[in-house]
Amino acid sequence: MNPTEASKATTVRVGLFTLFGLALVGAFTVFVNDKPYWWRKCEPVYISVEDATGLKTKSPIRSLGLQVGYLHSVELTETRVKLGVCITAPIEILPDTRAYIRGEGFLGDKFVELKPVRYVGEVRVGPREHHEVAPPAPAASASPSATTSASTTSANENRRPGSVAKGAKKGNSLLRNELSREENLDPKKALEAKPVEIEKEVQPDTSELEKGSEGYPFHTSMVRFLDLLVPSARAEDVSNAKEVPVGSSNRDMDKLIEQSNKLMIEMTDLTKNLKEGLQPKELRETIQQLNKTLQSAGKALSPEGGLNSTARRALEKLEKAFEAMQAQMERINRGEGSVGRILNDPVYADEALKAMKNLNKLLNKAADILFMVRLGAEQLPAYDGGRGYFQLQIFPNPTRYYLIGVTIDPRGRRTVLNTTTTSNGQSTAVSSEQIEEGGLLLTGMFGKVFWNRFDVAAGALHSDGAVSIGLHLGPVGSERMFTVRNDIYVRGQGVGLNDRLSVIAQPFLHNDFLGSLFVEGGLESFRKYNGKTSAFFGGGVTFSDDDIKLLFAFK
Amino acid sequence: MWRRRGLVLKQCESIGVSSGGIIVVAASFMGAVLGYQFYVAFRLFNAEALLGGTVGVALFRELAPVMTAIMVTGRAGAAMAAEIGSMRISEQVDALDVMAVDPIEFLVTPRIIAGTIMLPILAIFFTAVASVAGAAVACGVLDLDSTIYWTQYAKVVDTIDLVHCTTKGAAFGMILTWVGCFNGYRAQGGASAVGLATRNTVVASCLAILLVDYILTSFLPFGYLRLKVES
Repeated sequence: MNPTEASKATTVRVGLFTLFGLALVGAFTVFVNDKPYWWRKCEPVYISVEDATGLKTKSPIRSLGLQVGYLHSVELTETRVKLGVCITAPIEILPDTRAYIRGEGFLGDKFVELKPVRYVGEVRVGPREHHEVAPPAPAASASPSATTSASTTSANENRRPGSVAKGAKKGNSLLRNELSREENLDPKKALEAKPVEIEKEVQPDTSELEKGSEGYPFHTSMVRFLDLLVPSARAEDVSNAKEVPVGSSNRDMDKLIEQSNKLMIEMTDLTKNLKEGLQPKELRETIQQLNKTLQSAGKALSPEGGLNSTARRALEKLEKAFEAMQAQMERINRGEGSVGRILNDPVYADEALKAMKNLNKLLNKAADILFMVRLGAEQLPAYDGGRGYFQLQIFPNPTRYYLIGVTIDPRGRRTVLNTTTTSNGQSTAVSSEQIEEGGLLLTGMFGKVFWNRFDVAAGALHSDGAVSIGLHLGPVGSERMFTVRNDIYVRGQGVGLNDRLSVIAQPFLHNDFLGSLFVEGGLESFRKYNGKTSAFFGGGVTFSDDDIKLLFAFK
Repeated sequence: MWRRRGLVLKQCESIGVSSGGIIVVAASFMGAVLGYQFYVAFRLFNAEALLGGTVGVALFRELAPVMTAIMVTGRAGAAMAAEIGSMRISEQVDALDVMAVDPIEFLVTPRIIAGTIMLPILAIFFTAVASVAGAAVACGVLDLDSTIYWTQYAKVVDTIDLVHCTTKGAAFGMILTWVGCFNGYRAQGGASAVGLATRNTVVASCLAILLVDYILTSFLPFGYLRLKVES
């Protein structure tokens, strides 16, 4: 054997060894990159903060104590730090969602909390053994180990203090979000339960609460259940240290709250229902200014959770806005300005109120009516031409509709001219038919839909008397995805009864871009025309009720 | 080099595959000791939960590549110094020259390539075994929750630690094979020269590994030099 050549056994051994090593590298890479997330869909969110001390990639993103994502990137922008957040849980970031940087654990590990958020995933309800629930964590700043330690010292578990023992596994793994990613937790309930929990937590002593509910097993169970789901909510409400500024800033907040109260009293006395209906320029501008200021204040107050110089400036702006708005309100209350005169004149105010009510009624009625427009084109080879049509379907209610439309048809507009000539007492009737190619044909039908499937309509279809029967054969909820329609029509005397069979499909009904497109085809007539089978095919576009109402600003 | 691939594979087997057993044994005890020692230290602060992450980072960044390199130095580095040294004193290397076979290409290059390839794999192998051993001691003997151990492990260990481990492994593999070949190639005299070359290889390789470890730790991304600059 050539000494420079390796045997097959050597090759196989080295190959397997190398493959195994590479597999280990891959496995470690996946594992240390937060294994549970690597395959999940990620919704990117960005947060801009002034100081990202303690935050690093993979820091958890939490809401109500549950991990909902992780920090994907930390980038320095011009003067701030941009945090790229990867949301992996099925939650929706709301317009009023704010981010807070918090610390936890023995070393004060930083994480980002988002609240409030809305759970949009599937609700999962599973069995839970309530007797295994550990007591809630004492404070949000408790470390994972410290939190767990607190849990392990429950009365029914005899364990060394400070140790993280196996016995605490079930309760703690549910309590600690990072340990409960795949557990049978019901996040929706957790998210929804938070306000309830906070309200309960307002009571100073929770042990009394539970003690007092000993006679109510269900209530006790619920309290413990909620403790389990939102431990940090309780703790946060107790500490509440990072969100509410302390020291001299409290005075500013008190002042603002006091002014807000005054303002609200003024507004309540003054505007009632009219405040939404009548927004004069000055009032609107003030409200816009107030909104801007509130947004600035919101941004400034979060995510740091404390008052800094930007926040103070925002508060000053807010204060000024409040003062300005209060001044406006006082002017209006005194009857000054156009709005003040209107609002303080009972006649004008009543009339305006009636007008608003009537307008609302009208708009509500309009909102109940559904519209659908179909624009289509069909090719009729036998007639050597094409048909174009516009049809508007008006649904006063979902089971009844009116169909109106116009059509340009290669068959033309047929008019029959009966001429009666009287000569020497004898009358001669001559009937002549005129076909006006390119003439507009009218459609007007009344239809009714039964069980969303069976559609019957009668009236004039392309200027022919017709009775139409349609079957919507699409899946439930998308019945019109596939429709078979039969129109029995009469063009008039001498032409006779005819039948039109068409198949209409909207294959992309649920697609945002292609959903309005439809294709159709069928037989225009069972009779042959010029020796040819009069088939047709075509397509078009439908405009839904939302499109039309948006167009006409009904919505 | 492609035509010498058979030699590379042989050296891969000698340096990598054959060292697997000793690596497993060493890693098992190393991981177990780490589990014990860190547990004792962290328990002083009620911070046992950090054990998994600490063991992981320590292994990936330092212990696995360094320990693997030292183990392979003792086993394969010394062997290759002795082998090449024996060839040198028995004039087999000169015979290669006479036969127009480049001894560097024939003896040295395959070993260096094999060491550079195999050491990172062995280091990862070491890490995996030691991590499991640490978990076995911490969770099986010392009652730490295994979920906490592995969750913290995944949370604290980063991809950059993997980069550290493999980079250092490759560098150490190159160094120890280079030192072994160098000492073997320069052996002169009788049989004692082989022993001398072997001893020099182990000593020089271990020192070089530790020195290069310090340098790499300082200059690799997220190394300590950067921390110093930031502070």
